[in-house]
Amino acid sequence: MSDYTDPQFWPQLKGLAQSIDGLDYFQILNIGQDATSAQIRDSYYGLARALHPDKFFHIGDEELKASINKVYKRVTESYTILKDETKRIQYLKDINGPERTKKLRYSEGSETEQKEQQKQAAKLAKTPKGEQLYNTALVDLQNNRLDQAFKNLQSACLFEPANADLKKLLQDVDKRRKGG
Amino acid sequence: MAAKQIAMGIDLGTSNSCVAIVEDGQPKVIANEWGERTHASVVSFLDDGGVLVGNDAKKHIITNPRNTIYSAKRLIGRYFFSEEVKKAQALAGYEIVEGANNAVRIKIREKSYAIPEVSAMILKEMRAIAEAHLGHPVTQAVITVPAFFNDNQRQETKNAGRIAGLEVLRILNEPTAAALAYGFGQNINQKVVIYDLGGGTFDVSILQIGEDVFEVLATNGDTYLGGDDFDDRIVNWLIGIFLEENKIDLRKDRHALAKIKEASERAKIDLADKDRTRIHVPLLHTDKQGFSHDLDVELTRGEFNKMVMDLVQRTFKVCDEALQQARMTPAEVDGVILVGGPTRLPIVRNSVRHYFQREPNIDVDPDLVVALGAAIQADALLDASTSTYLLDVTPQTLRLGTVGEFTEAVIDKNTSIPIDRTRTFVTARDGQDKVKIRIYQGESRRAPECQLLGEFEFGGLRQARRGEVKIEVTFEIDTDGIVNVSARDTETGAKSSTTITLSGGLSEDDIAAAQARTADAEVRSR
Repeated sequence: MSDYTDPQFWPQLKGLAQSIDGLDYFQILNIGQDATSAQIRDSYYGLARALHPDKFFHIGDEELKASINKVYKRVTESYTILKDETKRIQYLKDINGPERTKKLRYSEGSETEQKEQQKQAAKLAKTPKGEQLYNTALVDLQNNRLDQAFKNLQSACLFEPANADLKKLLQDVDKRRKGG
Repeated sequence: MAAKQIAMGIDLGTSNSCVAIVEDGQPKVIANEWGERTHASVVSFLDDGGVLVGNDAKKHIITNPRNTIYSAKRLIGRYFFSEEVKKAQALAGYEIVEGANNAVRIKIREKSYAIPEVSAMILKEMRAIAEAHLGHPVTQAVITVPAFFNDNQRQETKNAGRIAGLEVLRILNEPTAAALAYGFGQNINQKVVIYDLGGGTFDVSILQIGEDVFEVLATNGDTYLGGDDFDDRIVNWLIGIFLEENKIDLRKDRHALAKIKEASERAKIDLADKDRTRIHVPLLHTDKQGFSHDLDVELTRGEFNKMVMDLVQRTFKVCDEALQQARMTPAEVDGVILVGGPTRLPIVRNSVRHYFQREPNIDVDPDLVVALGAAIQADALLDASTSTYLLDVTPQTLRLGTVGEFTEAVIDKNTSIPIDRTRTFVTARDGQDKVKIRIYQGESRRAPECQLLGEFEFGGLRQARRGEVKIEVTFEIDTDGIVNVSARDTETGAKSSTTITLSGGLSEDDIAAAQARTADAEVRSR
C-alpha cells in the first residue's frame, strides 16, 4: 500500500478532491456494484488506513488537509449508504437510471419527506375552523409571535377539544413563551 | 532531532479527572506529587483569592459549600432552562444563575463564571501534573467526553481546553478511548462492548476491532444516569430515617445535606468489597433548641442493591437499543469492558455478567482506562507513523427545523464521522436577502422534544425573484463530533455570510476574556 503522506502523492490527492463529485459510491470505494457487505467493509477499512485525516494531522499543508477531509468524508458517506441494504437498492436504481449525474450522492428524497410532513401538519387540525386557526398560529410561530400563536391554538383547541396533538402543541408553545 | 513532542490525554470526568501520556511507547497515568492518580473534579475558591483544585478541594464541599464547585460537567453545554440545571440548583451548595442567551453561570462572591471556565481550572491542574512529571511545558491535549454528548456539550468542552491555554487536538468519546486502551497493540479481531458507568453519565458503545482499525458500530447513552444517582438513593434513604427518628427534614439544611452526600458516597464505595457498612455522621444537625443529632445506621449490600436495582436495569435498556442498532445479540459479543468507578459495585458487575452471559474484562483499571486511551490517541495524532484508526459515529440524529415545530433528519445517529450532507433551500419571497434555519439533535420528529443546537442566518443573498435563488447548506460533523454549518449560492457558488443567531455557548470574545482571567488566577493544589 502506498503511503499517501509522502509529498509525491499530494498533487494526485488534491486532484481527487476536485474530481470526486463525478464519482459514484462504488467507484469511490473501488468495488463492483455487486460487492458483498464484507467487501464493502474491507474497502472502507483499507481506505481509512490510507486516507484517514488523523494520518495527515501533523502535516502543515492546509490545502492538502482540506482535500483529504473532503475525500475522506465522501468515503464515509459511501460506506454509510452502501452498508444499508435498503438504501443501496435505491441508490443502484438512481445511478443506473437516466438521471445518474444528478444522483451520485444519495438523498433521502427530502422534498417528498417535507411535503409529507406539511400534509401531516395540515391534517393535525380536523375541523375547517380549527385548521384556519392552526395555520394562523403557524405563521405566528414562524415570526416568533408566541403569545399570538398561543391564543390562536387555544381557540383551535376549543373547536377540537379531543385533539391530543393540538393540545400538545399548545403546551409546547406555552412552555416556550414562558421561557422554556 | 528535537525531543519528541508530547501531548496529554485528559479524562475530564463528572466526579474525577485523570491525565496520561505515552512514554517510551507505553501509555501511563501520571500521579501528582502525593501519588494520587485520580483527582476530584472539584474547584474551591478560597477566602484569600486562591483557587484549589482536586482531592483537597473536595473537602471544602462541606466546609465551604457556597464557594466550592463540583459536578460542573453535568451543566456544561446546557441551557439555563433545562431540567438538569433545575435539578442541580436544588441540590448544589453553590449558586447557579442565568447568564446572557440562556447560558448557565456560577456565582462565587459576586463574580460569575461560565461552566467552561470552571472546567478549564480542572484542565489546568491536569496540565500542571503532567508538566511536573515531564519537567517541561505541555500545550496539546486530547480531552474525552461521554459518547452521548451533543454538539453544544462538545463545543463547550473544547472551549474549556482553549481557556486553559491548550490546543485541543481532539474531542474523543470516552468509550472509544477505553476500547483503544484495550485493543492497542493487541492485533485482535473482536466485537467488544464498552459499558461505561461514570459519575454522571452512562454510555455504551459497540466496536468492531480489526487489528489497527477501531470501528464504532453503535453508541447509545443516558446523560442523566451515573454513580451520583446511586449516592442520591442512599441520601434519600438516610433523610427518610432521620425524619422518622427526629421529625426533622434535612432537605432544608444544606450543610447537613453535604455531609450526608459525602457519607453516602463513602458507603457506596465501601459496599463494593464489604457486605455491610456503618454510616455514622456525628453532629449532623442542631435543632432550634440547640440539641445536636447524630446519624448512625448500618446499610447492608442487599438493601443497597434493592435501592439501585432500577437504575442498573435502566442501563440495559440502553444496551438493548445499542445492540439492536449494531444488529447484534448479546451472545455475539466477544468481550465486555467495564469503565467508571461504579462498575466496581458487585450489583453492576453481576448484572453485566448475566446480561452478556460472559465474564467482563477487568484487566484495565476502570478509573484509568479512558485517560490511557486518550493518551494513545494524542500520541497517534502527533506521530507520523500513526497506526491506529478510529472510525467513530455521531450519537444523536442531526435535525433541521421545519414548519409547525417539526424537524427532519439530516444525519442519522450512529452514522460514521467525519461526514457531510447538503440540503437546498429556495427563496420564498421576491428580493429575499436571508435564510434562517434551526438545527437540533435528538430522536423525535417534534422539535420541542429535541435539543436545540442553534439558529443560523445566511445573509447577503443576491436580489432576485422568489424561487430563483437556491442556497445549498452543508451540515458537517467533524472528527470531534462537532457540527459545522455553511451555505453557498448554488448558481454563483458564492459563500453566504453565516451568523449564529442563537446559541447557549461562549462567543470568541467570551473565550478571549476568560483566557485572560484564567491566566491571572492563582491555582494551587494544596
